[in-house]
Amino acid sequence: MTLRSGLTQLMAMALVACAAAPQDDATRLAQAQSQMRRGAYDSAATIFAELAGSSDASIAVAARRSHVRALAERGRYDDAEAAARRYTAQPRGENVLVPLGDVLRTRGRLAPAESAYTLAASRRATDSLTARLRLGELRLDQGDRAGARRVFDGFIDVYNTRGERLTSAELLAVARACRHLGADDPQLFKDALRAYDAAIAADSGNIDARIEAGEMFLEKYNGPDARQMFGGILKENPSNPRALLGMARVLVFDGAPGADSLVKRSLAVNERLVDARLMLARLRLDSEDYDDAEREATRALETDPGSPVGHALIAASRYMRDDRKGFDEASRRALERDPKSVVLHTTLAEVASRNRRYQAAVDFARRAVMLDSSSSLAQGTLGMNALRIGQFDTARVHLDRAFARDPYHVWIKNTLDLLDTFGQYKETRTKRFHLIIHGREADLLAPYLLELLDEGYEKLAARYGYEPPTPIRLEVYRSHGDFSVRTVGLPGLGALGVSFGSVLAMHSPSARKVGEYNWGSTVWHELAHAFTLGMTDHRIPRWLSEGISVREERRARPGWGADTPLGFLVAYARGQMPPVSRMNDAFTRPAFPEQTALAYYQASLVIEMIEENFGPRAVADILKEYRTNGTGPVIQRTLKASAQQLDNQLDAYIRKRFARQFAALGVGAGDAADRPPRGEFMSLIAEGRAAVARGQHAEAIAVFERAKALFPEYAEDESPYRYLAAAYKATGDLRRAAAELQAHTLLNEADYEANIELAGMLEQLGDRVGAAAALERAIWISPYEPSLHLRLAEHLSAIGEHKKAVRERRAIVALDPVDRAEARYQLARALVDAGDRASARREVLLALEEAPSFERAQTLLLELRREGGRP
Amino acid sequence: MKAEYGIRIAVCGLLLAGGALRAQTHVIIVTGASGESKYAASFHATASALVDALVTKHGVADDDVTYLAEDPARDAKRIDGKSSKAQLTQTIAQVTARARAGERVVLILIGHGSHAGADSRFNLPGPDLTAAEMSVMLAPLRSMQVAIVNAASASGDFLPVLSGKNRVVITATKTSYERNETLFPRYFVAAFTTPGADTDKDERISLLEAFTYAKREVARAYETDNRLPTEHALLDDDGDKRGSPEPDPRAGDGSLARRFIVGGERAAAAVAANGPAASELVTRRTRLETQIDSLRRRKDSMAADAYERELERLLVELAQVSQAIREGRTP
Repeated sequence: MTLRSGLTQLMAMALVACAAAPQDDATRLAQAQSQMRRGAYDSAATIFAELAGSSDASIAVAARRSHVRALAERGRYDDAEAAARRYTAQPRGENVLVPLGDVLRTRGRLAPAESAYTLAASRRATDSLTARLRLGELRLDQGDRAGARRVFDGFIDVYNTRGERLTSAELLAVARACRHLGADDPQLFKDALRAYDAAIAADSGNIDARIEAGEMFLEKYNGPDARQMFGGILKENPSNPRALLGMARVLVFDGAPGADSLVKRSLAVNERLVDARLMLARLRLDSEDYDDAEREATRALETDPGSPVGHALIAASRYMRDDRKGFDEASRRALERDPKSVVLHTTLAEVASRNRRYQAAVDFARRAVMLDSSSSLAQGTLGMNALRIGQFDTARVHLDRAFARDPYHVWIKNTLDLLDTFGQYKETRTKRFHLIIHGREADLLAPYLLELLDEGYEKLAARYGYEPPTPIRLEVYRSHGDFSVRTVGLPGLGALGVSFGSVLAMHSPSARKVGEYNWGSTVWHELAHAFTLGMTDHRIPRWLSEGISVREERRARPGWGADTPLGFLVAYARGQMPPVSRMNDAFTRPAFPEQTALAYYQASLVIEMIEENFGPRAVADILKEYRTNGTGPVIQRTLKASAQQLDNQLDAYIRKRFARQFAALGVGAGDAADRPPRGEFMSLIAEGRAAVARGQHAEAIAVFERAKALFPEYAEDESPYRYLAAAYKATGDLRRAAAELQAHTLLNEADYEANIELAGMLEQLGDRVGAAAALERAIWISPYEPSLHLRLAEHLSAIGEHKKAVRERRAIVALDPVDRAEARYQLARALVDAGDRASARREVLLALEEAPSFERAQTLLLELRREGGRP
Repeated sequence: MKAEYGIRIAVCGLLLAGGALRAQTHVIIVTGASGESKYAASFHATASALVDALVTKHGVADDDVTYLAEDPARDAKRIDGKSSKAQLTQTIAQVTARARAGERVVLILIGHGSHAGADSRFNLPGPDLTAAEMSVMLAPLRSMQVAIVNAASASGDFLPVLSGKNRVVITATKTSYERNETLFPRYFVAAFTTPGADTDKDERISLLEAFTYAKREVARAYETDNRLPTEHALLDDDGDKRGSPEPDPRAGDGSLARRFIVGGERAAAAVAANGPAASELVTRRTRLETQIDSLRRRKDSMAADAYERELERLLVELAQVSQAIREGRTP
C-alpha cells in the first residue's frame, strides 16, 4: 500500500464509519424497542440511555422518550423523572415533556404534571395532542367535568379533520377522549373502539392502544373480548404489567382461580404499579383479609399519595373492621381531589357487596348517586345492589338510568333483559316465603320447596335461636345463564345457589344435568345462609357460613352433603388445603380449580369439630359473637383458642378421623399434584372391577367389602356399594343388593339411577316405605318423570301417608300429562283419602270438565255429592 | 294373519252381511324397507304391538287389520303380505271393494322416507311409493273417512299432497328435510297399547288423542335425553293442505280427527246391547254432552262463578244418567 493509496483508503473508511454510525443507532433503537415489547425492560433501558446521546436527533429523541418509559415500566420513577428532566433541558426537549408529565402524574404530583403537559402543548411537541388529552384528564381527576369535556370535545374535530393523517399515538389520544366523552354520550364508546382499532391498525406495536381497548372491554364487563385482547399481548410479552393486571381482572370476572398470581407477576415487573397494588388490596378485601388489604392500598399510596381509589379501599378496609374514625379519615382523603367523585362510594358499595353486606352496599351506592346522578357507574351499582336485597322497583329505576347512559355495559343489559322475563314467573306466597318460579314449573316445584323450606325454617330457628327477616324470597331459574346474570351479572359463572340474606336464588333442577345436582340440598343450604347471615348482621366470614350450610345439609336428610370427597382427602394429605385461619382463600382465590369445592367440605368439618369439641351450642354462640366482633376475638371468646390453636385442632381432628382413609389412599405431603393415589383402596377397586369383568361375583364381593371397610364414606364414581349391589344382584341376593344400594344413596345425594334401581328392588321385596324413600330422593334430583310420582303416590297411599300422596298427585297434574282427566281424578281420590273432600270435589269436577264421560270420575262425583262435600 | 288371509276375507264378507256394527274401521299397516336389521326389528315390534292392541283392546276385527312388511316370514302369524308397492295397491283395492260409504280406513306407514315435494317417498322393498302415487291409490276411497299416518322420517311433504276433504293426514315430520329416524311411530302406537292417551275417557282412542299423546311423549323423550328435537309432527283434517302442530278442534285442524275413532266397535256394541229401554237415557246423555261441550266453548265469555255452577249442574246430571245407563235402569 502506498502512502497515497493508504490515505485514500483511510479516508474512505472514515467516511463509511461516519455514514454507518447513525444507521447502527437506528438498528439498535429498533432492537431496544423490540426488547421492550418483549418485556426486556432493563436491557432496553440501557440501550435507550446510550442512544439518548445519538448524533441523529430523531433517534436521540425517540430513545430518550423510550428510556423514560422503560424506567417507569419497572417502577423506577425517581430515575425516570430525573432522566426526563435531564432530557427536557436538551435540544428538542419538548418531546420528552409528556413522558415526564406521565411519571409525575403516576406519582400523584398533578400540578407539575400539568405544567409539563401545558409546556408540551404550547411548544408543539410531536405528542402535543397527547399532552392536550392529559390536560383534559387532569381536569377530570380534579372534578372539573365541564372543563374536561371541552378539552375532549376538541378531539372529535381533530379526528374529523385529520382522521387518516393521525399517527397511531394520536389515534390513541382520540380513542381515550371519546371514551371519556362516552360518559355523557354512550354512542361515543363505539367511536372510542373504532379509534382504538385504527390506532392498532396504524401500528400493531402500539401496546398501549391494545391494553386500553382491553380495559374498556373490562369497564363494560365484556370478559371474552377483554380476555382475547390481553391474551394476545401476553403472548408477545408475558411480563407486560398492565396486561397481566387486565388478565387478572378477567379471571376475577370469570370466578376462575389465578388472579392473585397474575397480579404478583405484574408486581414482579413493577412493584410500585399503583393499579396492581390496588387490585391486590381488592383481592385481600374479597378474602376478608382487611389488614393486608390496607397494607397493599397504603403501598399504592406510597407511589400516588392522592389516589382516590387507594383511599377508598383503605376506607373500605376500615369499614369492614368497624374502624369508624379511620373510615371517616380515609373517606375524606378519597374525596380530596374531586369531592363529587363517585369512586369512594361505588368502591365501598362493591366491597360491601362482595363481603355480603348488601344493605350497606345499597346505602353506599345511594350516596354515590346523590353525589353524581349522571354517573352510570353509580346508578348501575345502586340498581344491582337493590336487586340483591329484593328491592325490584328501585333496582329497575336505577338500572334503566344506568343503561340509558351506558347501553354497552354487558352486566346491566343482561340484568335488564332478565328482569324483562319476570312476567313469565309465577309468585307463590306464604307468610314466610315468596317463591318466584317460572310459570312452566311453578306448580310442580313450589309444593316441595314450601314443605322443605318450612321444615328447614323451624329446625334452624330452633337450633340457632334466631329467625331471619321474612318473607324470604326464593328465585328459581330454569337456565344457568339467567341464574348467573341474577347473581353475578354475567352468564356462565359457577355456583348452584346464592343467598343474599333473605333473598335466595338457585338453579331449577331443569337447569342442570340429571345426576349433578340436588335441588333439595341446595335450597336447604341457601336457607341456612339466610340464618347465618341474618344472625351475624352479614358479618360472618364466607368459609364459616358455607361450612354451617353444608353441615346443615347433612343434618337435613341422609345423603345430602354427606359424601366425603376423595379429592378432599388427597388434597389435604398433600398439604394443598388451607388451615382454618386461611380458609377464605380457598373460596376467594383458590390455588387450584377444585379447591373451592373441596373447601366447602373442609369448612363443614370445622363445624363438626367445633360441635364435637365445644358442644352443640358452640356454633350458635360463635354466630352471636360475630354481630360485634371479628373472627380473631370471636374464636378467642367462644372457643378460648387462638387462630393457630384452631388450625392445629382441625388438623389433628382430620388426621385422626380419616387416619384409616389416608393410609388406604396412600397419599402424602411429598406427592406431586398430578400423581394419582396408588394406595390399597385403589388397588382393591381395580381388583374388584377385574373380578366383575371375569364374572366372579363372589370374589368381587369379598374385594369390594374390604374396599368399603377402608373408606366407608366414599360413594363417588367407583363406589364399592354400587359394585357390591350389582354383584349381590347377580348372585340373586336382592335383599343385600338393596342394602348396598341403600347405603350408597345415603352417601351420594345426586345418583338418580341408583335411587330408581333401589326403588325397583324394594318394590320387588315388598318394602313400600323404603321404595317411597328412594323415589323421594330421586325426585329431589330430578322431578320431571311422571312415572316416579305415580309410583311414589301409590306407595304413599298404601302406607297411609295421604298428605304426601296428594303432593305427588299434584305433581303429576303439574307435569301436564296428556291424560289430564285421569291425573285430576287420581288427585281427587288422594284428597278424599287425606280427608279434604272439598278440594277433592273441585278436582273431580276439573277431571270431568276435561272428560265429561269419565265413568270413575262420575262415580266419585256422585259419591262426594251424597256425602255433602261442597266446594 | 297372513296364513288365514284368504279364508278371513271370505268370513269377513259373511259378517259384513250379518250386522251393521261390524267392520267400521279398516286398518292397513305397512312397514317399509328397513336397510338395517335393527330397523327391521324395531319396525316390526312397533307394527305388531299395534296390530295386537287394535284387535284385543280396541275392537277392530282381526280381518280388518292388514299388516304388510318387508319380510313376511319374520312373523307369519301377524304379517299378511310383503310391503311392496304392488301388494299395497292390491290391498287398498280390496279394502275399497269391501268397505262401505262412511266407514273408516286407516293407513299407517312405519319406516324410512326420502326425497321432497310430490316426489316425497316412503321407502318400500322394491320401488318406493311417492306421495303422488299414494294420492292416486287412495282416490277410490273418497266416500269413506280416510286417515293416513305417515310415521316415517322425511314424511312432512306427504301432507299437502294427500290433504283433502273427509281425510285426516298425520306426518311424523313437518318437512322432508327432517330425515333422522323418528320416535313418533313408537309413541303413536303406545297411544293404543298403554293407558294415558284416552283423554276424554270414553274408552276409545281417536286419532286426535293418539296424535296429541305421541307428540307430547316425543317431546318429552327428546327433553329427557337432552337432545334437540329433529321431528315435528303435523296433523291436517280440514283439507287446507297445511298441517297443525297443535291441532285444536275449535279452530281449524282437529275436529275430524277428534271424531275419528280407531276401532271402538265393542263399546258401540255394548251400548246397543242395552236395547231400546235405554234409548231415552242415551238420548239424554247425548244431549247433556252436547250442552257441556257448548258450555265449555262459552267459558271465556262467562263469569267464573256462573260457569262453574252450570258446569257442575250438567256434570252431576250427566253422571246420574250415565250411571242409570250402566245399571240398566229405566228413565
